[in-house]
Amino acid sequence: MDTNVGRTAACWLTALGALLVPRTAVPAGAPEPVPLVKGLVFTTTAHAGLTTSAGSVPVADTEAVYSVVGTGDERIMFRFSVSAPADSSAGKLLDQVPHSFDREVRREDLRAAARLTVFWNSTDPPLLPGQTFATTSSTVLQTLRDTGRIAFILGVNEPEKGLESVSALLPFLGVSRHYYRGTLERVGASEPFSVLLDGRRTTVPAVHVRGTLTFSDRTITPQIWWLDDASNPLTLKWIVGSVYETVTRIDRPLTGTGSATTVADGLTGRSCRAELSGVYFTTASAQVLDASMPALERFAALMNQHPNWQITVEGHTDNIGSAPYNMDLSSRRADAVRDVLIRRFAVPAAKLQSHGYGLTRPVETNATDEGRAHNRRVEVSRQCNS
Amino acid sequence: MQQLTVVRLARSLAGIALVAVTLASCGRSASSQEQSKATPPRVESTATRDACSLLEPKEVEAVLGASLATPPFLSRDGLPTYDGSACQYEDANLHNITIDVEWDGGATVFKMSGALQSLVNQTAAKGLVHLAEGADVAGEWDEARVIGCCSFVALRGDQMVTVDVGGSKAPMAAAATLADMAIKRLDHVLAIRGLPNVKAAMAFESAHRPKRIDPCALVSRAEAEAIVGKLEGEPTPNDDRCVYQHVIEGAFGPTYVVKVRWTGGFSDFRLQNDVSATFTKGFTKNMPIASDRKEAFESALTGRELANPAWDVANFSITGLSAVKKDVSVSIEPQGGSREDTIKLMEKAMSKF
Repeated sequence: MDTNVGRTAACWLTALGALLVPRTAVPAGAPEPVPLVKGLVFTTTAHAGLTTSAGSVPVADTEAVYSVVGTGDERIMFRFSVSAPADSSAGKLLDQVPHSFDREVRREDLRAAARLTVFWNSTDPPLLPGQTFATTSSTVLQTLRDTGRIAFILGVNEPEKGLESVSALLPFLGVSRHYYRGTLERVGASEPFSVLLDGRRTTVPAVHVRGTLTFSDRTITPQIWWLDDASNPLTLKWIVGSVYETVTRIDRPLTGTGSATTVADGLTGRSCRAELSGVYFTTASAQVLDASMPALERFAALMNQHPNWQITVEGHTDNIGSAPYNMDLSSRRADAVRDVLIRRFAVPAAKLQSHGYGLTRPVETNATDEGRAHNRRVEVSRQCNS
Repeated sequence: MQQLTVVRLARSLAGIALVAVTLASCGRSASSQEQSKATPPRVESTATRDACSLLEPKEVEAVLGASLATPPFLSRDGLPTYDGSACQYEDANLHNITIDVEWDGGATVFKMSGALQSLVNQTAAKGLVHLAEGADVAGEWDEARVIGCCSFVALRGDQMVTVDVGGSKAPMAAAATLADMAIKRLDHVLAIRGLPNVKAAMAFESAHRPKRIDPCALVSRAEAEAIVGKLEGEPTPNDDRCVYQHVIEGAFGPTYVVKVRWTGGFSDFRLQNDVSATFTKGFTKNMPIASDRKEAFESALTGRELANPAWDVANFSITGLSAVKKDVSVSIEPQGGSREDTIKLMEKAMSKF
């Protein structure tokens, strides 16, 4: 897939980092649970049109961070932000409008709704009853398991025919959401889907479906991959025509000290280094997103347990954009993470260094969305003689 | 009905340039027509496209709270007409509920109505989830929206249904229920048509809807003087208004301004109450209210009605007394006048219907 159309710089809203990360793929075994609970964060890469009040881009590569920020008896609350490289056309558009939003989904829709909107609008209400967001429902997944097919409704944003003149004047009014109806059919058995799970390259089981859906006189033939987990059938990927969105990274909320221990294992092991998962930035900026705070707080606690450690925070990028640009960006982000650890979590400044490595140290191929997502990361390294 | 204004305006705007408005918004989209392919248009007889074919009369009667006085009929602006796009359900007191359908292009109209509404009230545009009663609603629709006080708009595919309960006392939740019933029948309409019932509806309207008269004839000079005392002269008509100027010992006293709306009175009453409540809520926030105006403000806030056998529905707002009978609304602004005299004037006016 050509994911680099229109990109002139690193697509940097990243889930950087990772808890210690064995750099080899974990073979598929018993599926690891990905519960839809507060603190779950997943990031996506999308290749789709972008329209704002300031203009539109026919095709743009954007990234989004989705966080589960609340779980109530009746609703699940998501927050997501979308970004693109600041010097790209999409990035310039996003810079002029709000690009972080809240969405809610009713639990009864998580149980039974067979309607999903994969494109979003900032003007959408927070809750659209009768729909799911970012997942499908348990009923849909179970029906696909049982029968291999399901009547489904897919909400898709499209340019509005006959409103070309409106689009020229007010781009956002030239796009409408169309709800396509039809039947989705399962494609084969459960498929392995590659993703960074808590910073580890692994595969999760996915239910792959496709079908022909219609709206008025139009048809589409979408494909969707859902996590094969009835408790959280997360939308892992969708394709409509040549546009798509795919999950590249999932960071589960940590319970206990397991993940912190993994970081500790990395720092005390032979490599003396580990990735920090769950650190997110806005595009082409050194602003650390709030969703990063739990991961950084845990790392600060780990450092407090080891007062003799001297740590270097390292920034790494993918290969999109020039080397000097990526070097500068990675340095600024490493600085920003160090700054948060010092100012917010009271890690002594003398114990922390920061360094940017830009695109020079990839851990996976830069030829795929998934690989680039992993290459955009924050690592921490320890001076092993300390 | 006025509640449909936004939807109608949206219809007329579809396909032409809008005024320059900045919406702080963004969204991803399929980039072009390459994503969807055109297929041959669905062949559907326009003869079946009758807004009255989506609801059973008894279903509407249950919401209206009364039997229909005439079979459902095609209407426009609240009156029967052979080329009406809406279907109207009306009881003997002219309470009514209407349903309107966009059989094609509903997605565009729905989108435009939301965009227009957002110009007026961003919160309302985003607040489609919460009905006035505070309930979340879901139905067979893809998306739904509340417009104004009394219209529930539901989109399914490229078809859109609007249920307007402004002419009745039905709550918005009831409108949502009717919209859900209608949406489910879009693919298999009922064998009910409104067109053949227009003639009967016209006859019913002619027999029961109050005829338009000189507004000053609603309360004659003698009747007014019997209530408020001597007037400065004959009441002064001006379109659908009439002004009564009271004099006290040769000097001008209170002035009573009577305004009449001859059709859509119930709907207008609910809409005005909704606007008044919204305005009053914002205007009176943290502001002390004079004791003699307190009831009017509270009435505006709560929509509390003023019961009286002389009318179907009425209340005092900060601008005066509004009452409706047989779908004719009358409002009286007592500029310096008393509440009691205003009520007596209204009773007299309503006795003419």
